[in-house]
Amino acid sequence: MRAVAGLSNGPPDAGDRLQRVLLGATLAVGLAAIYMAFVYAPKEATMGHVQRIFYFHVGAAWTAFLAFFVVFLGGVAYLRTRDRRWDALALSSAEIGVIFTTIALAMGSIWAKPAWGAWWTWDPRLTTTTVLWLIYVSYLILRGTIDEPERRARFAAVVGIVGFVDVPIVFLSIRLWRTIHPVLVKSEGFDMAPQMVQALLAALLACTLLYVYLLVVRTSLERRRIEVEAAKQALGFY
Amino acid sequence: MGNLWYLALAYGVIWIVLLVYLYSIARRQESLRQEVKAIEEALEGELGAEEETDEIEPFLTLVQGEGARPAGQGLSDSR
Repeated sequence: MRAVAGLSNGPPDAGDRLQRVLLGATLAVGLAAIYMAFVYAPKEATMGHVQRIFYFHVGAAWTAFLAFFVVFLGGVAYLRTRDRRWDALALSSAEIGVIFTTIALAMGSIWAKPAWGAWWTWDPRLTTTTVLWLIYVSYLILRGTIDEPERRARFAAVVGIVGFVDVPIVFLSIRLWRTIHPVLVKSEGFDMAPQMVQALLAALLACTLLYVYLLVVRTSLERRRIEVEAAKQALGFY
Repeated sequence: MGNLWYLALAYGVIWIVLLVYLYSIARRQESLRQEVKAIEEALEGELGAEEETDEIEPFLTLVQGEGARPAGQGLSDSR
């Protein structure tokens, strides 16, 4: 009863305070990053203002990679410990990773129209990113098809670990194959103006903070759902 | 101007996708809260019924004799 009562409305605990601090930091850094992308960074000589899509397009792609890395870590930790909290973390991160991959793909496609003259092209970077998106959408669909929690977590962990193989392929695709996608990070550093690099770093930080905030909120929800399931089972509600 | 439209569309996509996702999380939180409330109400109802039965137990014994129903029996299944 106490475990269930702990899930209802009550005074804010450390988790709630952490969420508020993270939300505040995300909003502050997010606004600064938007200012830097739209005002601080100079207008690009060839493409003009539309190049400003770049900052959050790269930010979303980076965050998706980070999210899928956490899915990988969560999967490994679950298989080692069989602790469902790791599965909750992996599920939450996969969901957020799919959201950020969707944003990166959509922004890239919108940018492609004025830059390349087409909404979509089967370029290696775009193709491997689409495959990545499909892998983790399948991960989420797979979870919905298995009722038994332990089996679901085990299968999901394996898919999350194997699926991560595509992340380095996406990253290296523009170096491994002939592509029209630009290579930004070269051996001598970033190939752009210093203000553009600073705006990019601000966008990366804003997207990372947003990811951490969403992960804390979503993981907390998933853990509470597991606790409610356990309480219902213990109390004979099934 | 045409290029600015693409810029607005790209950043609009971020807000739309994020708002839809946040709304889905809020809905799931609300659904879980309702579930917890239902469990608490069911448990409180059950405990209340048990306490009530404890109070009337001496009277039940008087009316029905020594073989009267033990407290809570038949009241525990709230489903």
